[in-house]
Amino acid sequence: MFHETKEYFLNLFKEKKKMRKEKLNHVEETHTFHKNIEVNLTNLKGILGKSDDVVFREFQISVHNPIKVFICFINGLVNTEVINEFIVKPLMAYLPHDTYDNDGIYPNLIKAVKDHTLSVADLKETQSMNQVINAVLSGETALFIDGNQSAILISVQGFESRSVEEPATETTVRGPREGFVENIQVNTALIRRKIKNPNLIFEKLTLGKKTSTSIGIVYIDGIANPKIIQEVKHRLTQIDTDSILGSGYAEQFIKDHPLSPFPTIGNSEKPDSIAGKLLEGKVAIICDGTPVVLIIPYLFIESLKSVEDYYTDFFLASFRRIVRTFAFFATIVTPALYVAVTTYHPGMIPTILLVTMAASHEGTPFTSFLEAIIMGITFELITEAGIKMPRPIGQAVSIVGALVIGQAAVQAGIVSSPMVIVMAFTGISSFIIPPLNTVIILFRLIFLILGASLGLYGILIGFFILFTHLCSLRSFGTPYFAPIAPMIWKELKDSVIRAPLWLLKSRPQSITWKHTQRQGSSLKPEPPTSNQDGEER
Amino acid sequence: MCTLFLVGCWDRKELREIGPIVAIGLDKDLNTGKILFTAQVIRVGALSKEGGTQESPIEIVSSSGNTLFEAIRNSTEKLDRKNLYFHTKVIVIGEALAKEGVMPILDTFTRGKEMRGYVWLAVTQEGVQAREILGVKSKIERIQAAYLKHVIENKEFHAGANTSDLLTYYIKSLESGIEPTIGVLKVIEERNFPVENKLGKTTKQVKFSGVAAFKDDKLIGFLNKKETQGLNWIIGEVKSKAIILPSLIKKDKLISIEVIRTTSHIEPKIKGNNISFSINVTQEGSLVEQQSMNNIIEPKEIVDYLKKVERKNEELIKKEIKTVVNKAQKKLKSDIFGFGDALNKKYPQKWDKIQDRWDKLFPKIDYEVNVNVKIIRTDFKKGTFQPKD
Repeated sequence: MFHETKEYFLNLFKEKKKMRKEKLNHVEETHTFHKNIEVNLTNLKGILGKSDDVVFREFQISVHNPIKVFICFINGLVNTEVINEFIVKPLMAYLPHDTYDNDGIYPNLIKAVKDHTLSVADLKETQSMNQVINAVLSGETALFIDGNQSAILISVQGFESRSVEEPATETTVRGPREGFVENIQVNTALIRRKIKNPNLIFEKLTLGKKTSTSIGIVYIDGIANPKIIQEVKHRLTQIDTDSILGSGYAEQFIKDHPLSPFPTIGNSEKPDSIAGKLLEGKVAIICDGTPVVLIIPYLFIESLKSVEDYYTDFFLASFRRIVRTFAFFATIVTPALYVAVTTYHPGMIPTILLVTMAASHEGTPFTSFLEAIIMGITFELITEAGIKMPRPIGQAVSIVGALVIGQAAVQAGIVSSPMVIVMAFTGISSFIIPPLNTVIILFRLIFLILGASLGLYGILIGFFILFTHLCSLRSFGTPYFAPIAPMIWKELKDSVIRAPLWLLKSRPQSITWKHTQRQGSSLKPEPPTSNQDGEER
Repeated sequence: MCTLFLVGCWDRKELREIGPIVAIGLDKDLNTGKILFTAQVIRVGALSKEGGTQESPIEIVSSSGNTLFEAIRNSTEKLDRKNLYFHTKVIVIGEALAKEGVMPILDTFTRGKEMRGYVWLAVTQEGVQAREILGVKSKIERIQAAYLKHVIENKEFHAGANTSDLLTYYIKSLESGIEPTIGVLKVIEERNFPVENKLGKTTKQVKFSGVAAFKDDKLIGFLNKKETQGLNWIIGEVKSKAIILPSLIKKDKLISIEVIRTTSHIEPKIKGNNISFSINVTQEGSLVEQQSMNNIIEPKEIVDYLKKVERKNEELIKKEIKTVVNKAQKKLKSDIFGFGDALNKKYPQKWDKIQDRWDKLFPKIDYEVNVNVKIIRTDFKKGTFQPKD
């Protein structure tokens, strides 16, 4: 009995060791090519044929001596019309006679087929079976010709994709309403339409051992920081995992400071937002299968910005940004402040307010700290329920639920009414800055505990912790709290406030790491001078 | 973590446990010689918006002890909340206690923990105990201490009284060359009208009028309303006031002048060994009421008339000032105006020499009063209304 269990655990241990040592490649073992088409067909059927949506179409090129060919594609991923019209039909119908000599041998059939027969826009030749398998799985068609050791991969993708529509999370009033979709080609096209520049580079990678997801790295050569580009490529190629189902997966594998709640990689669903950031010198990562595109590097100050700011006038934009900054601090510190001031510093509240607050606390049994926790949990539950519910009902229920529960709790004497107001204010402010949600939840709790145990002194300590942590972060080498720490004066024009566009002359130095100019000076619009020819009216 | 829920950290005061003390009354129990401490505590439930408006929001707690701190701790035998001094608005001190010295009494409060320096001080005259002041029902405010505080702060409208807050009292007491004054709160009886829905025929109310003068931290005398007005002229604390002068048009009628702005300055002069002071007061006023119905239309006549009124005004102010300085010099022998302070500012070396003898020098000091009044506007357009037959 003992011996068996010992054996069992030893085996388990050995397996684990073996797993760790295994070199996990992106693709599985290589397969080989054969000249004989039958062997290729059998091989390919063995690998891909287990699934019923993979189609193998065998036919013959009609020439003097018919040659066997077959195409392999996956139904649903390809545009079958193009296959019918431009691949099968020409091969079946026509082959120029000067491809073969009088003996009936076809010395360069592949070349003939490629150059003269297949009237498709995008094809390539390959000798790697791995590439063939990957291509077929991506929606390309593979053409095998008997007697040749290479196959032709034709790109005729035609799968259903969501149409370009406004993203739900980033609505704008004055900007364009396009949003990315799940198809990487459509996404790259959307970016291309914004930046018509030969220096806009897309580099393609494949990640994910089992999913083979296409990842594209986008940047503008000459503006982007080459060190950052290199680091991005390096980190992406190091990813060694089964699947990359969304950009979020990639983000979590490559980000700096994975244990910090602050996001060091940004994201966006809108092409104009990405285009703007590319022009500032950032690098974007597009993942096939998600409409969310990653942006590197990402600084704290950018969570307070929105692309809408650049389309409106500078006063409104600055005002909105100040409101967002205030909301960020308000949502973190308000419950803690309330608890701290009412328990430790009642002298700071005007007498009448103190009396009213004390009156509302009269019948409640719990300490303010416990009330804050109860209300916080309730609010989070309501928010989560609101997200999960179908749209029309969801919003109504969450608002009504919050109000009714809050009111009922006050009347039942569980919490006091100022606490409901405080939590409602906190909750509403927390929706203003979505990228910092983790920060808000975590730091709200930290501040609450510190405020409840140490009063205002505790809140001060909390701020020290927050700011020292912020200053210690780096996003791909760039200090996270730039342009505030280290202070870069030129960039402060576009941080918490937004100076008029004609003043934003240089690209942010914190991203490009050097001084670059992006527009000319003295662009401020002015009325025309009256030095014109002609009469004055 | 559990302790945060159950016990809490030191220095925690839950809102359910506090009893904010808004007014304090300090008396001397003449029978036993102990200090009587009276606190006016807010009953928070009565002020909640949702209900409880029937009961009074104020609770009065009284206790005695040999020292103030003992008296306070004795009050916790009767009160079911923790005392909180952050919100104290008024401290009323009985005359008997003030005569013995104010600073020793307030010593425990001024150790800096909770009492703010902006607390108003007030004194009661003999026959009225400080706790009676705290017990008077307030006129409009719900919290009685707020009523006392606003009555005190309304001094800016009549200049018939003055008082120091805790901080000013200490500053003036500890500084040589000026002595503090504390205002007097009196209790009066006013007739009740049916529409007020009050019980009984009369109600007791509080009146803020006159000051008590101090010397060496002990109460030495009182100034009545007129004398207090003179005091306010000298120390420049007349913000707005009504001045009644006989009308120059008709002999038995009066006119009212509203004071808009005053400045005052005490100027020391030294001639040899002789020290004298000149009190310079400037005032701007506006003519707001005229009882005689005569009309003065010509601009020149108006200007002449106003000039005469200004002269009368100046005489009135001079008279008030002289009255009070005389009293302070002869009867109280206390420099409540700050003559010594003015001397110190201008001639500090001279002041250093005579500082110790200032008590004896002050009653004999010469002074002169210069007043400059300007009536800058009249509030009527062209004259008074004339009834026609």
